[in-house]
Amino acid sequence: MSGADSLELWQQRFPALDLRRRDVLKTLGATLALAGLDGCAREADETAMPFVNDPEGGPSAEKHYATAVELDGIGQPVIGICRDGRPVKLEGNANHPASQGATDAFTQAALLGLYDPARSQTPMRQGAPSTWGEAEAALFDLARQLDGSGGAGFHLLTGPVGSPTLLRQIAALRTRWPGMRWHVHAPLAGEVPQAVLPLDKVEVLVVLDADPLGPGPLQTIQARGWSARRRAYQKGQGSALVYVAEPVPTLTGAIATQRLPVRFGRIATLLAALEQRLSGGSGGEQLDAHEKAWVDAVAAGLSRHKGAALVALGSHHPPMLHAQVAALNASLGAPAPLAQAPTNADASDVASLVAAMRGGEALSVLVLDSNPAYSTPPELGFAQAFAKVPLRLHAGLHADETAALAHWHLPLAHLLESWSDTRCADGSASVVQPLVRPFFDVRSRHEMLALLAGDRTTGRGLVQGTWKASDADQRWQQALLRGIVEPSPLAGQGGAPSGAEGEGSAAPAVARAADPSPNPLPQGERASEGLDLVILPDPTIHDGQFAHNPWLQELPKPLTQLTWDNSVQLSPQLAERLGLENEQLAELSLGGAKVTGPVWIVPGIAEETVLVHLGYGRRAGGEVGKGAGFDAYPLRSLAAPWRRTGAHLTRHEGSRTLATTQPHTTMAGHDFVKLVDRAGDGLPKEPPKPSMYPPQKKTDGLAWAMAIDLDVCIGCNACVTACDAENNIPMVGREQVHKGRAMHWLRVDHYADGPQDDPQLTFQPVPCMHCENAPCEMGCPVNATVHSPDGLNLQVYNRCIGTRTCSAFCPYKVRHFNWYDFTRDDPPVLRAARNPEVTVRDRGVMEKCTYCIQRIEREKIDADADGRPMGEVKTACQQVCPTSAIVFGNIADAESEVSQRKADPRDYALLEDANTRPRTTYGARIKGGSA
Amino acid sequence: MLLVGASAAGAGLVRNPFFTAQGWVVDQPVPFSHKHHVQDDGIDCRYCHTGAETRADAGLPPTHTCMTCHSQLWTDAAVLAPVRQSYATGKPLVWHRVAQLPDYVYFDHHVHVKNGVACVECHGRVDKMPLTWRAKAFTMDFCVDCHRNPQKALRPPQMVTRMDWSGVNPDLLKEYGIRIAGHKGLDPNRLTNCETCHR
Repeated sequence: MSGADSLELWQQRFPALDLRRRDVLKTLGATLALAGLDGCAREADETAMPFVNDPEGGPSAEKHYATAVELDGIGQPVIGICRDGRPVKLEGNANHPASQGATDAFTQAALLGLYDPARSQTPMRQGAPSTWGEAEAALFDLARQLDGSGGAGFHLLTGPVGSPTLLRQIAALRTRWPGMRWHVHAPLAGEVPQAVLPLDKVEVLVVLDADPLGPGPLQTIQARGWSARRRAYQKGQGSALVYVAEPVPTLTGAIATQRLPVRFGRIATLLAALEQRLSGGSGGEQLDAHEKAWVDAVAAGLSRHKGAALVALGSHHPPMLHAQVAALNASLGAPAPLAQAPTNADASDVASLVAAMRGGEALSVLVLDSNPAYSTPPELGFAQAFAKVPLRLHAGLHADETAALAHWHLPLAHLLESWSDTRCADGSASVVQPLVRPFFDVRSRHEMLALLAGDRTTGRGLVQGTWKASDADQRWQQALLRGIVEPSPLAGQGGAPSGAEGEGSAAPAVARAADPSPNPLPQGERASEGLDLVILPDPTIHDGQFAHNPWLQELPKPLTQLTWDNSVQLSPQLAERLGLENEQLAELSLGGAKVTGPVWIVPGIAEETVLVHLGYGRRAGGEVGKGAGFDAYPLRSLAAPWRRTGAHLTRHEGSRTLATTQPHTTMAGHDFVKLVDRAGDGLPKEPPKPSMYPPQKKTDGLAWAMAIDLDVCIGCNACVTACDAENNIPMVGREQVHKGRAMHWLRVDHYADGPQDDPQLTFQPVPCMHCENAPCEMGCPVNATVHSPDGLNLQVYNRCIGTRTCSAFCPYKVRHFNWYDFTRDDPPVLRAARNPEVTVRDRGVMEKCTYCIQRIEREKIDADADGRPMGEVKTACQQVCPTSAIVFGNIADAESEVSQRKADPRDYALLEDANTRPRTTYGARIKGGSA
Repeated sequence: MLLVGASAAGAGLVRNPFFTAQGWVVDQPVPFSHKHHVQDDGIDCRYCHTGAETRADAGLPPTHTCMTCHSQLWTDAAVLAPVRQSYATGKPLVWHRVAQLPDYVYFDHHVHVKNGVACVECHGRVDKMPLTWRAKAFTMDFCVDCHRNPQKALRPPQMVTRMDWSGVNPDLLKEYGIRIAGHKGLDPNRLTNCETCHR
């Protein structure tokens, strides 16, 4: 459009304006002149408010406290990094044997849970705000009543409890009120308690429909163990073979040396065949060719590695099968488990609570930090039975579905602001100390129970009471510093069994006996009519408790890269048979239950199997998760909460757009993830391609680089969440993710290559490559991205004018543009969660992974001021990785770990043909595992 | 013509004290006189600004520090009422910042002081200020001039709070700067790299 035309148009649209060519040009000229001054606006005056009394260490000192968060009642040890009196980051506790410095995605995201604006701030009575004075009066009334009746009719419902103080408090209440009953609602519990597997000692691991490396409270400790064994194999010390048979792809299946996609009903047959092969028989009559090959390989592996072999079965399988596996493990001489997840054997389950409520025996119910109105199958009828109880109390962090039904909703404190204690995965006990004074009027779970008992002791006093300590106690101070108050009972031993149930003692005779179990899990190969339904907790939302956590909603799920939604997942074979495509709505019905959800095709799901995830379809508790996904809990039955048969799937009208960060699932013939056959193998090394640019100087003995070992990456996404937390990454919402505008600086790509019914599953974390010949630096017209002497590709936000040329030029697509001001509407409590060392980016600037430049600069400045050489710098992603897949460091130092990784013959650069000379390189994945 | 003239005018305007706040006395809740406390009383900078050689931000003194003297001296002075009030109620004093940098600048105080950059280089003759104003225009070129040429601003670390350098032989200072910059290996190429101040 020429200038004259546009003037005409403007004159037409705004006739009141008297537009003349000369005037317009004059205005343009003046604007240009002013434009020079526009960027130099006077800074707004700031105020400064020093303390009245400086805290110890100075006003802005960074403090580190050892504490823990919990997932499903199991402690996850962390170090809380506190600035200005509040936590801004959680790191792993390197001194804690349960995690050795690693954390998982849920633990990283727990920080945002503390600053959740949707948290309850005040007690609510029948939906209206009340006060703690009134709430306490009601509790004292109840206590008096219970004293008179000996506790009859009082029911306490909690989640799984591992905390020694909470157990002590509950025991004390039960002693005082013998008529009271304690129920535990564990939506994610299996048939048998989960054992913590000693994967570092296991050279041959056989996994049957289980996911030891998958998301959950045991992921960190088990991933650490497995990666230790894998690393030993890489060095030529023994084998690291993992054989997996599963109906749906899992993280464990992705790292398996041999994976067999198989309907879950076949597991018992496979196990029987395996037992037969191991005892010398042929055992292959009922198996097809694939299954037979797998069983043969497993039998061979197990026989060669007796004493270092272990068979793991999913905890949802019936006890009879577990007895078989236990016998098999005993005959193999398998290493004993490290610990058992807490079982709360002396508590009843939620079904007996519902029975009591329905029968009218329950006169008062206190639900402590649990959400059964959402996370029980509707078949149980919790909501209806709950409504009959004359006095209903709910204590929790959010006004969730259960709180909506209660008379009283009492706000609980987050663990990061409470005094408590917890039992970690290895059985050790840690003290939980608050990282900040609560900013809402809340009580901790211990203070809550104490109030019921008429006790006004503070949380700290209650926890000290459990450990018989006081502030002056040297032992107590040490426990707080180190993060452990009681070491694991197995510490230092060879791994004696810890009173395990279901492992190591059942005789084979029990396994062969007729099974009277009511569990309808189909045994044998007669397939029921209808489809198999596999129900799993969502990889990022878990059982639903994280539905209102934006970091976890926007975290791409490892095997599908979906965000903000769950889906009805099927194999390509089933989709073709039923004529279903991605995003089309489908109705999944089973028994009387019907749910509707969008279809997503996932290569690697067994034939005739449908997968759904729990945790979506939340109806209360916050705005973030509202409208996200569908509730899959109705598909669970009490008898079979995890695996069901006889499902039907039909096309439903309409579709739902699903926001995925990676629409393509294969490498399409490229070799982004390279594979070698066995340990010791290398990749063909080619000479560097010619370049017109001079080689990068390695000045001052400082050259930053990163090496990522794809052989040990399990796709857990802890690194992505840690990066989100450290670098103030904004969450953009479903619509923007769908447009490809997700802001995660680090992404974990997932590929499913080869035959789509039995694909090779791989993961590849992709941060900024910090290329020596960076195309982005060449493209930026204003030099907002430049190269530092120590090898970093810098992004200077205050120079960036948002042309997005750099992102267009980047072949790795690791640059992210702020299309909107994502943080403008953030409430103050959310602003408090940010890391003050990292800029909060405004609209219109580009951002990307900086190799955690704030950490590098901090170490550089401190070293300069102290007059010493620079020490080690760990990026956020490196620090949390449970398998130590990511290593960052100085390649000018030949002895550094990153230099050693890069000297490995498996090392290669992504998109080598682009000749960008990236500083981030990868270690090829090794297909085998046999020594 | 218009563009060139406008740019020249723009350049001048950017350095105008209206934009840089150089020389403008900033209103404070208490009319604190550095002249009195430093020149008359001889109090060292670090007595109050404790972070100057230990932390990234030099900081302002907590009310407690003021009260170390003013619980004994001038206890009835009206100008000190806000200080006494702050101490009594536990509410902090609300000062208005003088040496303020934009948020996109990550300035670390203690690395400058430890390396020997004297307080007077950036803050000017604070001992001559009856009320406090910004002595230098904290434009980027003010910082980069020195980062390109660190030897001109380096002093012996134990004399970093000295205000008056006129009595010292300038050639000696120059020699000292050159030697110490060489000894520390201060490389202008490194110091003028974007990552040094902008993350």
